[in-house]
Amino acid sequence: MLDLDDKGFLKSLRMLRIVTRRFFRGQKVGQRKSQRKGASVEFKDYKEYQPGDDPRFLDWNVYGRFDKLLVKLFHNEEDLQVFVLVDSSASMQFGSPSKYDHARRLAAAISYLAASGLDRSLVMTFADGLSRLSTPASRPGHVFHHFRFLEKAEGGGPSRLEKSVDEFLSRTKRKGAVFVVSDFLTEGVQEALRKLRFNRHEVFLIQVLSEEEQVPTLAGLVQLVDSETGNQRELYMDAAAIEAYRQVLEEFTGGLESFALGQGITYVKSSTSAPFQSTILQLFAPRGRS
Amino acid sequence: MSFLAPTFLALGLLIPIVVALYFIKSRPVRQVVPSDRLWAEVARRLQSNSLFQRYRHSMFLILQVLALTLGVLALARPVTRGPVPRVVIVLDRSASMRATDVAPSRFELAREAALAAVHALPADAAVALVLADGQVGLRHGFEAHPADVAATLTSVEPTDLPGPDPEMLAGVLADLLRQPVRTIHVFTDQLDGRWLCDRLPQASLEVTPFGKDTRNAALTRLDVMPARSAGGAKSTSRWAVHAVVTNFGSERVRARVKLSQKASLGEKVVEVPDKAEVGVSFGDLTLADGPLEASLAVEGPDHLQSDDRLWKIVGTGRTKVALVAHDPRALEKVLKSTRGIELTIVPAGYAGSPVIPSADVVITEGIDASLTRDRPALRFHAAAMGVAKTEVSPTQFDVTHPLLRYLSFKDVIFERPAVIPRQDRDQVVLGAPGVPLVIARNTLGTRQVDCGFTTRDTSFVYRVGFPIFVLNSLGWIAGARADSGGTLPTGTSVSLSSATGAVTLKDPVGLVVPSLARGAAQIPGATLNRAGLWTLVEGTRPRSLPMALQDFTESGLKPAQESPVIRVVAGPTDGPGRTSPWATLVLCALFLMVLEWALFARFGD
Repeated sequence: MLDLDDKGFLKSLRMLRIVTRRFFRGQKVGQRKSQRKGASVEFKDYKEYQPGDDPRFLDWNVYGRFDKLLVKLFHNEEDLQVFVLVDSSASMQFGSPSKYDHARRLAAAISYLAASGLDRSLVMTFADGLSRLSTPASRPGHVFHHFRFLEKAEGGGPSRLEKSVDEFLSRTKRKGAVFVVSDFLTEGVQEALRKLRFNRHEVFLIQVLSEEEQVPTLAGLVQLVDSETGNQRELYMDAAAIEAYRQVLEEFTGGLESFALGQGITYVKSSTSAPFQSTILQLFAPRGRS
Repeated sequence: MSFLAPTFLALGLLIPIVVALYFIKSRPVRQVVPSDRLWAEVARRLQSNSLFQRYRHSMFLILQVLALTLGVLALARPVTRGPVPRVVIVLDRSASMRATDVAPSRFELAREAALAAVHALPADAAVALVLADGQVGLRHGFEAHPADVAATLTSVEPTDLPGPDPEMLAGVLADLLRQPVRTIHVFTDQLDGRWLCDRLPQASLEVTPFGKDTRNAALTRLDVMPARSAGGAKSTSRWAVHAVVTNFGSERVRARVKLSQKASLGEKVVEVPDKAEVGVSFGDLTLADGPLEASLAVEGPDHLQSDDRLWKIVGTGRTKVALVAHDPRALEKVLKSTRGIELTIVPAGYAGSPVIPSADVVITEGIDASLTRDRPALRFHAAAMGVAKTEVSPTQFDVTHPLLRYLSFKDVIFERPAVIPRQDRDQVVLGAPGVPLVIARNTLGTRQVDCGFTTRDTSFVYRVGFPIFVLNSLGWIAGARADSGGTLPTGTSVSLSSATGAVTLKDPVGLVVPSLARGAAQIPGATLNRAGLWTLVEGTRPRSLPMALQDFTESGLKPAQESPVIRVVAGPTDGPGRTSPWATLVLCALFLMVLEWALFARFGD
């Protein structure tokens, strides 16, 4: 049973914050700079005084030096809409700990970070389509609803990312940061990501791979059974086969990463054997604006 | 292909067990994976890389089964029929083979062993038979059928000649070894066969000795030549005699060589090391025409006394040749150009001419053979009237026989071969399939050559080889007088050619045998009971009768020591005409196992 209320887990998230490359229009006042001018304390620009402007924002120092009435403008601070899409298909149930558990921890961490930054967050699981949606969280106290949601979310079934994205786009109108946590062992990954980018979301990909997937320990004649489709395949596992698998996996993850780079998508590979904090740190390495 | 150890083939039952174990062991393990997507690409790459990748998991099974199969085959010792095996049988028929120190006699045991060797050969084997005594002769070439060789072995008898000269035997065998020969089987009483192995290192020799005694010394050569003065000039009245004593045994012997011609001419004592020859020379002797006798006495037991005497006829007279033919022109032309011949041409109608009995050699062409029944003769037989023309070419050659020396019969045609009356001791030196063309006969020292053709029925007469053949024949026939051949075992009856004339018989000491009945048809064997040179005078013509001991037991000597029968085998053999690739199979099995191990280390679990 996944326990996301662990104090160590929450403590490890306090020092983190979601960082995006671009500004998103918020719904409410938050802690995130907006392109819109507002009433924050962070100076943005000057404009000539027009009748009707608030005289409290006149810059008297400029007037004294240049004899011009200029009004100071400030950044507006709004919240950010964060969407977390967690793959709950059957292929995510593998590994020890399972990739699904690892993905849920990552989703909880992102949700927590969003809430702690006064951002609005929404967590969804998908497999053959969008499975479940959590209630939106806009305050730090709401994040525990997400935790409960993630703890209760069960997985299974085939994975169809493109269909799930279509459903996601049809349900949400706001733009924001979309975190897709999945192993991406499904068809239509690139099409789904293009659709997200087309709808002006900032996309974060977190590819979760188990240790067994990265370094398979199979040997001898093995009948491989696909957990989602039930397809069977006999393969003789020897050093050459393992080496070929490593190459295929490397090409697969490398291809996904290069595609993401081309689309301006942040890509992070996360191993279930590594602590999730490292994935979060890698994900929000300082590079964005806000 | 057959197997020398077919019992091991039962180990082949392990093969299905190995296959079953392999499949049990290689039953696939069911493993659920998150997605088949990546593995599908892996499978596609592995299968498209190479054929080996596609079947490599079966490769171990194939290698195991192959290695096991080869191992089982190697244990079963397969043998395959190679090319037609060529085997040479050498049978020593010298006088010493009559010895009965092994029952029934050395020769009988050797004959049985030779027959067994021939019978063990496949029907299509090529067998050559060499009969070895003082004269080493190729009796059958490789074209002979093994059954013919077996028939010859059954009928052959030991001679009274000394043992085979190693150099001569090695020469004959070296000639045969121009073709690939599998094995040379030598059946001899010369206990140590290494003297032959040393001379033929390239041959696969199997020497089977018979007899128990290792002491074996004999006179092997006796030469009489004009003595030379201090200036090197040949004397016409003084002679030098050179004898060779050969020690075939493994012990050093002390031998006494005596030379006599009616009276003793001298004697010398020599030490002969084992397996060595020592020459003994007697110089500046005065010899009379007639037989010169050399005898050898070995100190201590010597069981080969029948080899211990040699005779040489001393004389320088011309060979008297009488030619009897209806059309003697071709032969006359050949003979008149030959030196050392006193030729008398007798018309065919004068068959009763007194020239014929006094001639050393009578040559007849198309004349009744009874004219020269007991005389040294070269006879050209004509085919019977009405015989159809049948062209034959020689296929059987006894190239070692003096008659065929320097001759080649390539493309020689014999148009109408005649049937030659055969006798037991005949030796076919030239023959076509089923047709003897030239037969050599040696009966009691009287040599005859019968030719199954006339000068009109063959292209041979136009060849340069024909006068050579005539001269070879004259030399061989007339040479009987100077040979040591014709030795009879003591106790042998001798037929007389003329039952009506006066007959005088002298024993080796020179005493006239008084008990010989006048007009007797033969001399009884009981009379000829002493070894030595007997002299028989029928009418006016003296005739020598060299008699040798029938077997060593007559000397009253016993074997000096009992030595086991040894068998000297040189070179590997898997039996006639068969080769066994077991060593190759073992190497292949080991190679496959190493290969499997290497593949397993590279691609295995």
